[in-house]
Amino acid sequence: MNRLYMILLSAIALSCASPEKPITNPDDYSQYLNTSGENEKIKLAEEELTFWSDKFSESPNQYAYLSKMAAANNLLFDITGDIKYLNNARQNLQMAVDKTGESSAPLYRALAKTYITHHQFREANDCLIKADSLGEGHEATQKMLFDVKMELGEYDEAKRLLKSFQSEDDFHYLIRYSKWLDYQGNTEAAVAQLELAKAKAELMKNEGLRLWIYSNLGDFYGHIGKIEKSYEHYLKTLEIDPHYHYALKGIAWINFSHEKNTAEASRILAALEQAHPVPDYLLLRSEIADFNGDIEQKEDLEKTFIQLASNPAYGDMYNAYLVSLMETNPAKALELAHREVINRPTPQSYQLLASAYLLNDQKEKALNVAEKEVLEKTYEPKSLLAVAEIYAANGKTAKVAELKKELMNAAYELGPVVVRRVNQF
Amino acid sequence: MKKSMKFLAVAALAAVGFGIIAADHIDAPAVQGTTADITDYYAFQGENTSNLVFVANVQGLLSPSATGSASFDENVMVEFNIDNTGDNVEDLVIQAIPRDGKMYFFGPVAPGTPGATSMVQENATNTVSVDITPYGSNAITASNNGMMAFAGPRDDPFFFDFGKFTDILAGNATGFDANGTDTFAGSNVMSVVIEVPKSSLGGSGTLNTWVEAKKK
Amino acid sequence: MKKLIRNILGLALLATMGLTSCDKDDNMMNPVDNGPDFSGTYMTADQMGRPAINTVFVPSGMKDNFNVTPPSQMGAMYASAFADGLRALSPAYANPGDANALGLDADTFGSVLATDILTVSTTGTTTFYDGTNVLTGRNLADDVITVELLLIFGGEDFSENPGLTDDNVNANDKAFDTSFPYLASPW
Repeated sequence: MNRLYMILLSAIALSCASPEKPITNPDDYSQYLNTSGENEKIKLAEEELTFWSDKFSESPNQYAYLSKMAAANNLLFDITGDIKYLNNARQNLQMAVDKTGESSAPLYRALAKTYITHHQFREANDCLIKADSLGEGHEATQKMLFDVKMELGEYDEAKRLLKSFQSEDDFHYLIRYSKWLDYQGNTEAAVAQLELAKAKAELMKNEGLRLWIYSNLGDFYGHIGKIEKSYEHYLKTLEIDPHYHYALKGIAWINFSHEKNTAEASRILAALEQAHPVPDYLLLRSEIADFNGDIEQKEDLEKTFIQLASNPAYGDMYNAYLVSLMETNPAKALELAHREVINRPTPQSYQLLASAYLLNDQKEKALNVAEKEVLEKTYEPKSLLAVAEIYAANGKTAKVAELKKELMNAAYELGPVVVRRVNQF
Repeated sequence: MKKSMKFLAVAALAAVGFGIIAADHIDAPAVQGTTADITDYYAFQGENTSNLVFVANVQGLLSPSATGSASFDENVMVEFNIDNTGDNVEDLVIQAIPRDGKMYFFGPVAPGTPGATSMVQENATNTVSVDITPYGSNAITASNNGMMAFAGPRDDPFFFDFGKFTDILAGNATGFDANGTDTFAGSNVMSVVIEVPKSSLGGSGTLNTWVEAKKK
Repeated sequence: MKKLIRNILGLALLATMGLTSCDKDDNMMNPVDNGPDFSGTYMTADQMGRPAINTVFVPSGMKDNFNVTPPSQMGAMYASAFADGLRALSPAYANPGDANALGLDADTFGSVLATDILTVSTTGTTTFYDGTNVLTGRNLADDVITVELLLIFGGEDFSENPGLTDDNVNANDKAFDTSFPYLASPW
């Protein structure tokens, strides 16, 4: 019954979703999909890890080597997506912190960074507070604390920190000011700050910062509907680093969301899954299957995602996405949503909690959380879509209509499957 | 009625799909680079005893495999400071700054203003520039105005059992080992070396010197 | 209507500050000539005189400032912290009147170390310490750590705390060159 309904919906959606004029051209990026060639970066990072690990085995009290091992492990995690490297990096740094008598602020910052990557923001916060009390590298600590406070929903403190290191000449300030503006819902202004940061990174000729800023601009141009610029910046990223999977993922999204070219999006994702086997790509593949009306495949992919992302090595990294896939297990969805609110009490996490209440037939509770903790606290289209669903369940049709208008402006970011649902309102 | 509500709930949850990952921005890049970290500073009489040699090393603990991709940061100036009047305020500086594979040296020359803020002294009469030696090549040197210059990767000349010292400071050891471990053995640094005539440095026998890494 | 979603089309708030600094950047980037561009202001990020002083003596909370303080101001700012550091670190300064082999007590030695400069002779031997000459420079091969350990832990005649006065790493792992650029080739 349910499936029939879904197929019916898909048919309606397909008939009214005419593909946009294509922006992407496979000739621009197909060279980056060839995974047969060995990734030189992996080889170098492995050599680096072996070099310092061997030295550390020979002299297990040379703690400086632990930082080098952690750096190599972090790099290997970035390149391969294999979570064991991230856990190893954290262990290296924890050991270094312990062995040096908890006296090094830079070590605490490095440890905090692995916690941030692992979405363990409370642990990261603890490390940064220790780094701050030690003192060295005060401004670096303040900047990282800003990042963590934004994830912990402590926006007043984040704002205070942002002011404390304000400097329009500083790349690291500009990208954080941009994040703040985006949080406030002012995405155009956020992009303007990223553009200033881009100029700094180019002036500095800093490859790492250029990769970061180009790929983030790829995302943000997408958020404001400038798809061509988004595409152009993903390509700029790949020109510097042909293995930069994040940019290829962005190009897959353009193919799917903008051009409705599911075959091409799938081709890119298949290459990505080979080169960088992380669970994330399964979610986009399941969305594509959903769009194509292949509900069986959609559900299979979701199951695989749940299985892989539930690997204890990931910790709470994928909780937000797991909550979203627990429709057959409402109790588990609620449990995970509660955990996510504790780990990361942001409006987005409260939205997951509200949605989980709705799934558990507690529509009044859902409405209460949505109105108190989500609405006007976040401007993320995804979160507002959930609020619209909750209004609909509570029979508040006028509010739904109001949100629907705005959601349609974010069609590209939401993607065609979600837009189909918005159209149902 | 109940069913449709349930469907809506499912939709609300499932809506949080890939899109959010696409919008979930990558962690911010590392806030502190290490390109301006001075690992060591040396000043000694040259092979030609009329000259003094200044050495600054940056970016310590480079493994051989990491050395090939290590480079000088174009936003970082290495500035040797020379006080020849005994007040610990620099009277002369030698500035080293990389551009497009070359290291440019300006000075010894009077600094525009002494202290933490500097401009490049482009009008200095003492100048020399040298190609930065690539990893794996023989040392490339250059000379001009009686000065000699080098920039590129070298073996880290520093030796110290830093691990045991850390143990002692942390209260985990009471003394050094009979045979210490050189923490820096087998590792490289990025070196800047400049040799200048003593006569260009002034003073009457003793100079106070130090090196700074200055960032744009 | 209340703004609920991100301000996708609202250009009104496009940060004026952002535009201003963008203009400034454009001016700065005017091409002047064909040579490399050396313009701009450079600020101290790190500095060093004697080896390992910052690592050993400067408390974490003072490192940021120490790294950017001009040496002429260091003595006044850090002498007492260095003297306290010496007393906390080394039993060789535990009793009144204790001094090192240079005859300097904790306060005097702390004051000397706090001004982190390297003195260099232009007329004679350059060495960190060779048994005769003290602090007339620093050669690549000088065992500077052992010299510092002796002055910190060794007491009046280098005989105190023998386990702490030599790290027993006495030379580099590669031989140095007698000619420019003197440092050994990389591994």
